[in-house]
Amino acid sequence: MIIYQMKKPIECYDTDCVGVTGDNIAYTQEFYIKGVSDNSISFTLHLRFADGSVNSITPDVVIPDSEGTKLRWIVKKNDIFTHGYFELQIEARNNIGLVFQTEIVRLYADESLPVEDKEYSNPNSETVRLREEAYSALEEMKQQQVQIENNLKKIEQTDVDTKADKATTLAGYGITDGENTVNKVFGKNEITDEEINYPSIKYLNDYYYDFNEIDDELAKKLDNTAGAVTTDNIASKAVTNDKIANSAVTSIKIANNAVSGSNIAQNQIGTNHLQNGTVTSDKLADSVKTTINAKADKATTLAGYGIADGENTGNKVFDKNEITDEEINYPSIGYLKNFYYEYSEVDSLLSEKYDVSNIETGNGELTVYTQSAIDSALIKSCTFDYQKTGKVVNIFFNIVFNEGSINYLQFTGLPFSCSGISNQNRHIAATTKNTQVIVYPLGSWLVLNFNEVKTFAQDETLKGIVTIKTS
Amino acid sequence: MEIKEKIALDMLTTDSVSVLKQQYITVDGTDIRVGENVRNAYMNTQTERNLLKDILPKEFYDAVMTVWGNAPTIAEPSAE
Repeated sequence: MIIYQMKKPIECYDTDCVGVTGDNIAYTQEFYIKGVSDNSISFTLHLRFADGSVNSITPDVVIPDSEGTKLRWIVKKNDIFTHGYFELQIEARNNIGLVFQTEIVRLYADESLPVEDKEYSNPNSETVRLREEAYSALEEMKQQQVQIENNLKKIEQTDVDTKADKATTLAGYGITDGENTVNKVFGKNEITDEEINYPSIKYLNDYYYDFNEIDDELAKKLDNTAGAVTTDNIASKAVTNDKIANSAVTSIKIANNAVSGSNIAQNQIGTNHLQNGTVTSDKLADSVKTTINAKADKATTLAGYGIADGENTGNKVFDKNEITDEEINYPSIGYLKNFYYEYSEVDSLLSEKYDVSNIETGNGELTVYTQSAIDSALIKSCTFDYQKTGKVVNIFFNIVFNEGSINYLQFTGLPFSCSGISNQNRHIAATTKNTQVIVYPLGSWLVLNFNEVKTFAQDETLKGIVTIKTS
Repeated sequence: MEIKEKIALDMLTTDSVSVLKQQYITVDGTDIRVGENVRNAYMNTQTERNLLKDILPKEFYDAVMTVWGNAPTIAEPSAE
């Protein structure tokens, strides 16, 4: 019943869609109603939009002819409230009342361009919606601006200038209390400052005895135990634990912690140690977050960077009164020099001591240097024990007589031949019967001079000591 | 178990020598010293040259004589 000339909407395949009205600026729709040619009839176009709003429009042109009536609707901007599908029904009335209503058809109006209406003096629903959208967008922009300003404030609070560039060295971060591995020395030729340099394990191994080495050296030395040395003088000068303190080579203990060169690795200033959270906002732009996250707050200390595995130079000691924690403190080269013997020093000290290799003990029998047959017959036995310490030999002899008389006896077979003027090294001894005798060594001989003929009882015994010096 | 005796000539000069005797046993191929050192020194007198000949194995005696020579260098002791 309605004839329309409408363009098909793009991508509109709904069979109920009869066309589009085009944009709402200016478009002309024509309807032709057959069988109605009455000039007394007025027509109204009723429109119902998707949002429920309605509009009634009087056709711009009504032209009846012999067969019907043509209606022309010049679409104006205020005719279409909102774009999309809308329903249209034509109503005809005369002076009596309703003549007829056409069926309801669906038409389509494309989304129109905003109508410029600066004062909104004549808005339609489309422009109102656009205005509301604009307001909404503006509000969102305001919120975004506020957020941006807040972010800017946070960025300013976390001034990038206060951040440190990533680095791989202490100097790179400006850390002043971190132990720099360049201060670790392997040899004496690397020492530049005894208070700053500290030893590597190699340095300790090269220049200092460890416990085992000292123990080995001490084992070679005369100990102050029974039987080893009876001379008090020697004993008092023996190498004892008191003189070489047990702690002499504690460098091993220290070294275990001191040389953390392996601990002060290039990776010590890793991202794990950088302080997180300086810029906590997760709303910062990714680029800003990336920049901030790549930075650490500037500091001059290991703690300032949160570095847990860096050796703090505050733990390095030069003097014992600087020690605060023996497990944490580590020595400087100067500390080692001040409080520890090096190899050469220990060797020098040990070389001044009697060595086990210089101590020899043993025994033997003397042989009567026969002057006559009676000489040998007079001696029942003649034995000795000796102890040689260095060049000094103490000989403890024990002569047992048979019954008889003699004024002079000479034995051969002392353990060593004495040098120098030992024949003047004379002692007076007495037998178990109180027979006095002058005793002295001469070469490898032992001489007993009674000055006059003495008579000995059976098993009368002479015990004594002679000391000789070997060459 | 056999006891072996080792002899060392010590401080051998033209005038004297110190003879050290040490005894060993061998256990599992290792020599282990037993007993104490036995040491006597002798002067290069005729008496002691003869004494050494009785005391020392020939090779040791010959070694001493190589140094001491054919004649004594020390006079026999006499009573003062």
